[in-house]
Amino acid sequence: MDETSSQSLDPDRQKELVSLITRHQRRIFSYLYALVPDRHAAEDLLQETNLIICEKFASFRSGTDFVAWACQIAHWRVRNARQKFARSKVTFNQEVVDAIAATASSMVKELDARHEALEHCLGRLHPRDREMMLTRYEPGCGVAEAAQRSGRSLQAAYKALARIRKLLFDCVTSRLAREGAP
Amino acid sequence: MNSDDSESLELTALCDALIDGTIDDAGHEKLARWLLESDDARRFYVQYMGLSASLCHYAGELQTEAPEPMPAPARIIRHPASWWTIGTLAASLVIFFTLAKQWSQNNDDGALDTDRFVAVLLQTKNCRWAPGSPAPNAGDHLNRGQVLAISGGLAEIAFDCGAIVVIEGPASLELDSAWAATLRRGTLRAQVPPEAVGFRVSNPAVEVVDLGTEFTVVANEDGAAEVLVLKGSVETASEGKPLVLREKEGRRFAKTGASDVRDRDRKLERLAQTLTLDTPPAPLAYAHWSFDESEGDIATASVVGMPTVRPIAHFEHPTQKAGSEGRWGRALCLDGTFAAAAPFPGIASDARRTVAFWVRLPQDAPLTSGQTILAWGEKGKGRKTGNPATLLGWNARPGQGTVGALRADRGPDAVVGTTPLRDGNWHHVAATFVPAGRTRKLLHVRLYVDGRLEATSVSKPKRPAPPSIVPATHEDSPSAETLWIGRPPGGRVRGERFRGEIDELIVAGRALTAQEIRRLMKTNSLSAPKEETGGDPNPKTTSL
Repeated sequence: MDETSSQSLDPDRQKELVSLITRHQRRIFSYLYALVPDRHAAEDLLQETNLIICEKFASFRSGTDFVAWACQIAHWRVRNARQKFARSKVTFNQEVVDAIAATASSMVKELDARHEALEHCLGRLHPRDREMMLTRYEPGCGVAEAAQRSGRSLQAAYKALARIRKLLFDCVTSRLAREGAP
Repeated sequence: MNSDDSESLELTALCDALIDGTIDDAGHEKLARWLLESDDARRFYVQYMGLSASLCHYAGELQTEAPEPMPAPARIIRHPASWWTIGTLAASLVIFFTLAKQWSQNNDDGALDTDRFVAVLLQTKNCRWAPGSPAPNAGDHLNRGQVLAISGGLAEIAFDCGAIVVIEGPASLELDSAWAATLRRGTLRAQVPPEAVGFRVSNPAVEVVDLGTEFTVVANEDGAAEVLVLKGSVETASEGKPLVLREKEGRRFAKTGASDVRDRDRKLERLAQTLTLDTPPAPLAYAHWSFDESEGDIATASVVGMPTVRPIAHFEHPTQKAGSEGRWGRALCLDGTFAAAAPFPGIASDARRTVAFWVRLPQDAPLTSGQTILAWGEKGKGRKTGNPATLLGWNARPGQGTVGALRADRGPDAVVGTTPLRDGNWHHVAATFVPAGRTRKLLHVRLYVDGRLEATSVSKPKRPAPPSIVPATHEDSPSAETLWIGRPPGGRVRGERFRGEIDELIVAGRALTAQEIRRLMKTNSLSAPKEETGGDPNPKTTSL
């Protein structure tokens, strides 16, 4: 690894790097999560991807599509890391991953719109359901934590979370349909 | 793809199982085949996984947001927290590793010791530190394993458990823990309050376990030790033989066995004389909310030596403030629907600090109710600044310690006490914080309940980003400069606020000793006895 490559950037390019990498973290994470639907694995891959982005940033042309460039790096990173997941169900075989990557790359704007709509839909949830869902996704928590805090059994929590996710998904879809979004 | 047709419902179920980690081999295989063969299924899958990724983001964002509007004077500045939830950690680490490798090496605090600070040097008199021995100053914290060697004079040490020890030179004392010391030579005099019963002094010849008393150990060069009890009783153990010594009793322990102490009465008389040491106690800055106001939407603090602190705590819902009979005067009664916030410049920084208050929790406080009693800093911001929020409350996680016990959280670190607080009674709780390490990036936390040391920990934040590249730090944010009462820090807080009563909240500008905490508990005052007073005699009280 060339540890000095990003150090050789001039201050303006360093600022640009910091700005881009922070502004688009969620998009890169979302892309990675579709390829490797395990939060911790995806976060690890995000960090590795960030590292490579820093190393390679000198080759990125300002004004071009940073997210597309970063997602290419992320996809390459997932391909390289697949052997780590070979025996688990964390991700799929290479052919499937490549197909998902191609689809996800074409949906960045749509996912952005869905992300914005989700905030509205979260606000419309019953507070108890919102609390449970956000607990499920809170860093360091999970289904067991959500079950405990909501006073449900684990099995009941799985069912409830699936139901709430479906509610949110449908809410987002219908909201975008009303707005004529992509 | 219609999300309600049977195919979609099955695909949704498979995606849910994948997200929650419950998918079986057959389901995984079916989903893989589906995704490979169908564009629609793939698009649906990407949307569904995107939803899950966004939920990760929003759940993380709730830990980092700026505050909701509170009554003046807090001004709301909404930070672009949403791009700093996942990104902060990742980007800071990346930038840290790639741009500041050398800086990180310089910033290394070394291996963690889980209980590094165990005592404080209180005072000295004519103290001459032995050659080669560290020469701490009054007020310095002393590490576990540190040897204090004096060739003459007196040094007074406050152990974190509450035991006060004076050594008389020539003497050499090794600090084993907050509860134990080894006297290699010299004279040691220990005052052990009831909260510190169990404090132990060892010597090659004898081990003395205090049973709530005042005693002396004199260790000779030849390895023998004399134990004299001034008040109460101690249990001694020499060569496996236990012996209880009571008031005015003494015993000499040597390799050859135990014997009477020569000139015992004369020695007891000399040891009973009051020692006067040189150093006055350090001046103490503090803010003290008594919560004695019976009405209104603010609580006003007495502030001493903290000129930048505006001593006003505002309540979220002015009409809902409720007082009750407290431990001293009236108390703040929180019913789970509202909380309070006090602008407190500097609270977010890691500085020596004590937070102490009385608290009464209902016996039936449910585990799902709000547990945060006090908080400061911005939750989650530690990922970019290395300085996470601190929360003081009660423990509701059975797997992490006694349920209902005092709990302090700081970023990923938590420390839990042992006394269940959910008993409907008033308890005095205190937490002390001491930054340490070569770069002062460790934070030592001590929890005291009813004057007794219950738990200690060392928190080490994640590595901060290098100075040249760090975005605005949380110290810049008004929410970070706020002391939250009855709720976690930040903006939207899910769930209930704290339910219970709080009284006599004090934020002091240094780590109080166990002795001071006990005095505060008993007298509701931080003022030392008159001959010791070094602080401002006229506390400033202001109101709107």
